[in-house]
Amino acid sequence: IPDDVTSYHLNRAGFDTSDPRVIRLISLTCQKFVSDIVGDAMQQCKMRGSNQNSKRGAKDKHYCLTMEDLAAAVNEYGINIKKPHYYS
Amino acid sequence: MADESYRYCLQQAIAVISSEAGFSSMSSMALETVTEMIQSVLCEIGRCSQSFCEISSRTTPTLCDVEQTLINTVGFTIQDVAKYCSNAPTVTIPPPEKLHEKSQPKLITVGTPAPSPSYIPDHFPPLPSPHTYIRTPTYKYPNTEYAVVRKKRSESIRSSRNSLIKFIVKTSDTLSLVHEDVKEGLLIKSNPPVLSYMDALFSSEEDKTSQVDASQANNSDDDDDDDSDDESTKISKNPFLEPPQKRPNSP
Repeated sequence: IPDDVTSYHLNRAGFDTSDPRVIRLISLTCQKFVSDIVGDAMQQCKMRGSNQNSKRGAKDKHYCLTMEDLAAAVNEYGINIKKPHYYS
Repeated sequence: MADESYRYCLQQAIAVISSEAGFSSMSSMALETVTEMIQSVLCEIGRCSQSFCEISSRTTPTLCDVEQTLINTVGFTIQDVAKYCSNAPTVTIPPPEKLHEKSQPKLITVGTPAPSPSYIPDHFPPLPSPHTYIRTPTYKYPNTEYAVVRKKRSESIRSSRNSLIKFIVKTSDTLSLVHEDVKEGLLIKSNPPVLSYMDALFSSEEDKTSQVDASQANNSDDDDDDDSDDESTKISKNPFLEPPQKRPNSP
């Protein structure tokens, strides 16, 4: 994540620092956070894939991150994602 | 707003991370959700660390404040981040390009602007060019040379005559001198009255009014009608319209 983007968002929150190391630290933290979530979603996807393709033995090489996997991964972090099933 | 470009950068970063994790594609809704999450995490870390530093009566957040914040928000320490750093994705995303403001062209000043009067402080902008608020009307002195004036008069008369002739040629009937149905050497047809001798035989109304006015002038002493006097003098100049002269001793 570029430093400019991170510093822009931090400034929006009221965080003002002149040290670039702090900004890089925070951007790395966010990256780690996202990669953790995405990793968990990947595991969810593989588990679903393994349930479907257990007979074949060959698993999908193209994984698509969907809302279902993401919701399951993020629920462990305490974030509940609700998606409306239809537009009312 | 610039917000859009920064969001797009975040989305690019998310795409890189997820591709490194093994995903080849992701739904747009999932992407939006993750973007929202990362944006809120960034803002939350910033707000939290600012609060921590303000609690300890400082204004600039330091590393300790950030450390505390990380434990509070995301739940891992800086050592975890250092471990992640060794496995960090190598693709770097360029930051959004800054658009240069179009420099305004300097206002062109014509002539030297007048110095500001004493009652205007110096930090005010200078007065504009004097031509914007000072207007001195100039009069062109007319050319009164006799030759020029005479020439102009004759030219104007000639041009008005020509234009009148052209107008009548176009509007009324014309005769051709050279040959019929040819548009050269045109003559304007005159339309004389049917009985042209009637005007000469019968006296005109002007003649009658001049007779009446003349008789009135002879009778009344105080005559206030200047117009009638002018008319009578004008008409009397034309010898053909003078009233018939009475013989001194008419029977």
